[in-house]
Amino acid sequence: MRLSPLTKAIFIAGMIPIIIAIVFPFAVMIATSLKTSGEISGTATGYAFLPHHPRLANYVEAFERMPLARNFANSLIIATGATLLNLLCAVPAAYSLGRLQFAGKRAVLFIVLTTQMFSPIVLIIALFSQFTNYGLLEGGRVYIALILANAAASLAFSIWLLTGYFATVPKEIEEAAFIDGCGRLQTVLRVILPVSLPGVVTTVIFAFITAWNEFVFALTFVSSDQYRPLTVAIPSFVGQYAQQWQYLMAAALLATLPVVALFLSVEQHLVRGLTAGSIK
Amino acid sequence: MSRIRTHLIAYITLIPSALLVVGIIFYPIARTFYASFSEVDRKGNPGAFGTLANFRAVLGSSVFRHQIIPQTLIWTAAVVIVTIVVSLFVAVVLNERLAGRRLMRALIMLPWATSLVISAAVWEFILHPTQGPLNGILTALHIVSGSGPAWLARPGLAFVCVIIVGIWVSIPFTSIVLLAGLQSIPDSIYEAALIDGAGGWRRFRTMTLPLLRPVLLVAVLLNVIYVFNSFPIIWTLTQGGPANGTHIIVTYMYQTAISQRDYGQGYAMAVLTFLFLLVFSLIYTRFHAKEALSPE
Repeated sequence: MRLSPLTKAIFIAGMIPIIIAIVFPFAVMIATSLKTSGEISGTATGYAFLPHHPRLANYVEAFERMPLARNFANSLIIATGATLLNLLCAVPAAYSLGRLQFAGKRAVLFIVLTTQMFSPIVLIIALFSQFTNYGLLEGGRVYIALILANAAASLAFSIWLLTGYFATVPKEIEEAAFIDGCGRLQTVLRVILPVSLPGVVTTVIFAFITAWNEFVFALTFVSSDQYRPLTVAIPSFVGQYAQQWQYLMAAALLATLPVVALFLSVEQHLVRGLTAGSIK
Repeated sequence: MSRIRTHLIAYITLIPSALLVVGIIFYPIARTFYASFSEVDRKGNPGAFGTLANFRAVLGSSVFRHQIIPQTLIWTAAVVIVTIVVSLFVAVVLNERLAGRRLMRALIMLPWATSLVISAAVWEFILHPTQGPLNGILTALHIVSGSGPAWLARPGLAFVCVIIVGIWVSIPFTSIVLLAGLQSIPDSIYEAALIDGAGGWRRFRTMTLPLLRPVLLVAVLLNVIYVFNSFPIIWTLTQGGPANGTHIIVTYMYQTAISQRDYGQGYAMAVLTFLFLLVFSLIYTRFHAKEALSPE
């Protein structure tokens, strides 16, 4: 449809400030991560948004000054563990919900939806005292606590998304595999999962990003610096390494880039899954 | 394959998910409700059941009644309303075949992919009184004299700042959901209107908005739930301060229970949060969104 010149002008005039506001913090992150501390405080030269001589060494020094490598490893352990546990629970459940007829199926789907209504923040006090009782927050066991909590937090969405994908695999393909002598498990692994690959990849990436970006569980469960993931470590550096914003912004950018890339790669499938319930 | 075998397979495949959901979601919810009506020890374990002391303590506190509740309502209303209006505009623009649409769409989504705390930490730097880019730019442009305001140090100003950051993080999800809604409206409907000679604004008001209504209503409900429960932004930027001026129920609850170890009041606030959202959702779906939430 053609837009009138006036409408077009209004659209562009309205979008420019919105896009600038959305992008501004990312531009700040990149620009600041390349500055010297003198440039940031602006004491010598006055304020400039862009660095005079972009300083890539900040990225190396950030790792030397802050325990970033450790925080990255922790985020990776927690997010990977949570993703695996999430899949291990969601794939079998979604298989039955998507492909089998059984009593109580609608009730199960309804329960899956209602679990999405509980925000982690409402559960956190009870979970904290429960996990303390079980000794799950001591030492390295805190990984287990975080993996359990994160896997549960994204489970409903994974089941929902996978059920939709599994349900659309044509029955003939499955039956052909049965006739070829494949057992049920083999059929799932060799036929259903490969055919639903876009759905599985989207689920993996979504579960991973959710756990990677998670804050409330990690903030509450982790008491020792050793086990902190990036989301807890980076804000805490603000006070600890004040006046060294260039390192903080470098760390923030490095923590963000991989998930942004992953996110944009599956965004189309993600939106389809997220809006499946609300759009006919 | 026999029916019994199918049922057996189905129930077995549900066991891992059921264990995880019961252990990590339903049991803690039940425990929260039970403990909110119990005496609670210093480790958060419920003791004797059957007391309203926790709720009395929460609702009897003047900070809770005169600061926390109004601030929670203002925060939620302000963030949701502005987010919906801006996102609706963004969605309508992105629905047109403009040059650079794909790039704009990708840029709009950036805050969604970023961890809320990392976004908040960057905003904390942007708003830093002496070293932050915002005051740097305002000073360079001579909009403010001296070094510029301490954005997060004054209660009213700090509250406005956290609301703006709250809107900033909410726009991507809302825009994309609304855009998906717009894309599901068939072009043929507009073509009929075009023949009738309906102008752009009139077409938007009389056709687009009513057709988008179901999606819009869901977007509002989801946003209310998310924003009401939103914790990381306020916690990172201000921790509810200064002078409790930026606290909402969930941040105040966290401070009371986890930081100050008053679990009883924390459980009571969790129950109040949960009940408020439940009642809101029920009333909302009853009066506004019946058509939106029904399966067909």
